[in-house]
Amino acid sequence: MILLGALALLAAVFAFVPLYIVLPMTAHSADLIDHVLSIRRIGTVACPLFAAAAVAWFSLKWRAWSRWRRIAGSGLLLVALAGAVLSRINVVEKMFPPADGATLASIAGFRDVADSDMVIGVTLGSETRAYPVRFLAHHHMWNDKLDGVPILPNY
Amino acid sequence: MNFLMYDEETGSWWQQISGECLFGPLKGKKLVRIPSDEVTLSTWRAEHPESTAVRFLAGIRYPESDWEKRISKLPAVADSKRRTDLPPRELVAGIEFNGASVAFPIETVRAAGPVNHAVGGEPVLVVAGADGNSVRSFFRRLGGNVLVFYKAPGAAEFALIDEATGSRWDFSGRSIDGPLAGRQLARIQNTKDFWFDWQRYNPQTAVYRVGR
Repeated sequence: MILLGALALLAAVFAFVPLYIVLPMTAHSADLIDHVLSIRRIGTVACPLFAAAAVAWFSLKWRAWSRWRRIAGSGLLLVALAGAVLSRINVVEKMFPPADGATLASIAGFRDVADSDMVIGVTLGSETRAYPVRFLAHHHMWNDKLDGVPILPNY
Repeated sequence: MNFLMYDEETGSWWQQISGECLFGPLKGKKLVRIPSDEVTLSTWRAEHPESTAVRFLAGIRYPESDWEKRISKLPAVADSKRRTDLPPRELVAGIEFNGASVAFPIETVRAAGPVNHAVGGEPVLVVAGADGNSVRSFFRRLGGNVLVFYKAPGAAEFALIDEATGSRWDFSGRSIDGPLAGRQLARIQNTKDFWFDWQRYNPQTAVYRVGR
């Protein structure tokens, strides 16, 4: 049971600690970001291993366990499995999905935002484009191409 | 402002404000910043009639026009090394040049009119547009001369004049009238940012104040 608990705890730590980088209103230092992303990278391999070990240990032991131990063991097993799944998902990408494929309008007839609203204007080579700040404030990043050059307007 | 960006191709993590890769296979690499303008739609439309604009996607609730007002009331990130020259959420136009950086409080630029200053030893002009929201910056060196700018007195429309020749200049940095008509000032990129964020990435930054 202690081994199962330790495996569940490890899987949870490796899976949940990386969520630190999406904590809002936090002063993230470069060092901490580095450590946390290292943990995340290790976790993608380690968490499934912890979960596999937990499954193996549980299936080996559960026949010998009392009813309450089985319930507690199942709970810990679920935590380990959840950690394994979470470690393989880029949660950040689910929260802020990447976006592209803009529909364009000519500036003369563009009425999606007010005249007094701000835009980010870019000129590259022969092409000029306006990205409304309200648009970028929602999407944060927009993968685009201007005059054949891949660019990333962001806000 | 300021977040981490993730690329699907290599799984590297990038910092928004610097474009620098902080973690992953591309660590240490830096994205090239392209010049951009943050101005009102009407200003951009008048200056760039050939421009395209990116349309809102259907089915998304975009922030309202006054969303920045709400943002400005949010608390700022706590930072023990924070400098207290300005309130944390004060908006600044930040300029980096020659290894030096100066934060120009946008409110001050608006109130004081065109700001003639220097960044990293190079004379610059920081000016708010007629719309009151757009801020642009230019090098003041033209040929061998350093120009000093004033708001054209009594002008109905936005116009600057330079002290030496009395030529008139528009918000795009082009002289529209006078001995220097047709000449164009070179742009220098300014970054609109909250003070708390700017000072974190430019810890040595100077802060522009009227009279200094």
